[in-house]
Amino acid sequence: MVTFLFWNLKKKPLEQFVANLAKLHEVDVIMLIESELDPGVLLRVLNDSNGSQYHYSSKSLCSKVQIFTKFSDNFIEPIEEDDRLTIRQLELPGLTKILLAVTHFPSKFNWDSDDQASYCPILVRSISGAESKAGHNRTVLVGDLNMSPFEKGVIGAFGLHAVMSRRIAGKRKRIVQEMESQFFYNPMWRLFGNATRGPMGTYYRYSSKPNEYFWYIFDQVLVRPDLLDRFNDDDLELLTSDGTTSFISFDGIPDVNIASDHLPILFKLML
Amino acid sequence: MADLWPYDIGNATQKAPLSILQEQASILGAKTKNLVKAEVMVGHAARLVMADTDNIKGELGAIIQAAAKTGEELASTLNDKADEISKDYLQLFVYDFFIAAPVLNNYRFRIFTVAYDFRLYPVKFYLDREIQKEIQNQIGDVWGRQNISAKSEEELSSILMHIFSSSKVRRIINALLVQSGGSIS
Repeated sequence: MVTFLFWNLKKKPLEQFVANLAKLHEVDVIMLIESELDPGVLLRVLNDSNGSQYHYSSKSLCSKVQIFTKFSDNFIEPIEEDDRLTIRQLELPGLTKILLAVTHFPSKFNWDSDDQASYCPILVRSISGAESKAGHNRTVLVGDLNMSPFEKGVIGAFGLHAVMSRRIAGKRKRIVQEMESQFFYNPMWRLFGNATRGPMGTYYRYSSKPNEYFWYIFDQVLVRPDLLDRFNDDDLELLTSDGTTSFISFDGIPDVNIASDHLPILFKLML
Repeated sequence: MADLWPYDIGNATQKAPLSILQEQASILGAKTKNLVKAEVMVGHAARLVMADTDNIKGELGAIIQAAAKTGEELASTLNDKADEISKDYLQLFVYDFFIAAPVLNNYRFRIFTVAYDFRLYPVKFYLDREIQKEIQNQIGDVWGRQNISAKSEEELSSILMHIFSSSKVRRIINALLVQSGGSIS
């Protein structure tokens, strides 16, 4: 079982929280965005807090994503990148090879939903290119998409084509306007609302707009159908504490005075 | 039989943006003994466009009905309309430009994507943000535009020159060369 942690740090010095989470959940792969942490500093904190030796993946040219692993970075080499995306070939000895794509999508601060949706094809093309190169479609995409699971950039056939149903995703692809579009499975849908065991999203916003969702799931994990038998929905969690310190305030929303305004995501894959 | 075609038909002098990109891509490989190359890959137009086809059909249908007088008027009206809606709906040609290192497991880094329609120009750039910021400081004020786009072959060449000279592109090429065990000639 390989354990993954993803967190948007909002440029805050949260290295001790990262290290605590890594220890608490025995994380193998740590993916950080909006991190201004010096990799050397975080490595020291990680390795002081944990019995294991973590490594920093330094070969990447994507400055927006930092990846730390419990194994040599030779096993997680980048194969395709741009300034917002890194796609890694994760190839651990004796385990199933996968592609791990990590991204920080443009935010709605500068772009509207249509702008974001029209940028998605660039991301999709990069993933498809990497899959062709790798010779398989065992891809997991993780990141702050700055879009909700129901937005057209995420669900659209010309976007990420990420659906809420395993059964539909299991059909692998759909043809729309004579174009073949591969599915992702989006397990994040089940995390909405009060009936979930944890927080109702990864990001909270209050505004005076008439239409306000308040809770958003911008940080997402999307899984290709070829990995569905290796991914258990119950292994996906939104984390609200490092075991000692809570990241949320008394009313259950991310506490920016303590940690980030995004909550971290933990998930596992049986490789 | 009389030849009714204009005398200069078929004498296209304009170079397609793709040709310019491909020429420049081939030059980088020559400079680095192919340790670091540039690649131009085709993107699918409809994917970038995310077009709402029903709306487009509606808009174009209304134009055609309103300007049904002569073909010339229609062509002119459509051309004007194309500028207005082209930014999202009529970009038919989409290409990604990568810097690649064949010996590093075929690693590649996308530095920009371009999109243009049947008119060839303007060519719209979707640029790496760092590069965009750097070159906008250099060329943005000259053309007074916020987004990088090339309205002619000359502007396209100029923008490409600025992109290739940017510190980020130099950094990427040097990093890949070092890892590939080479140097630039």
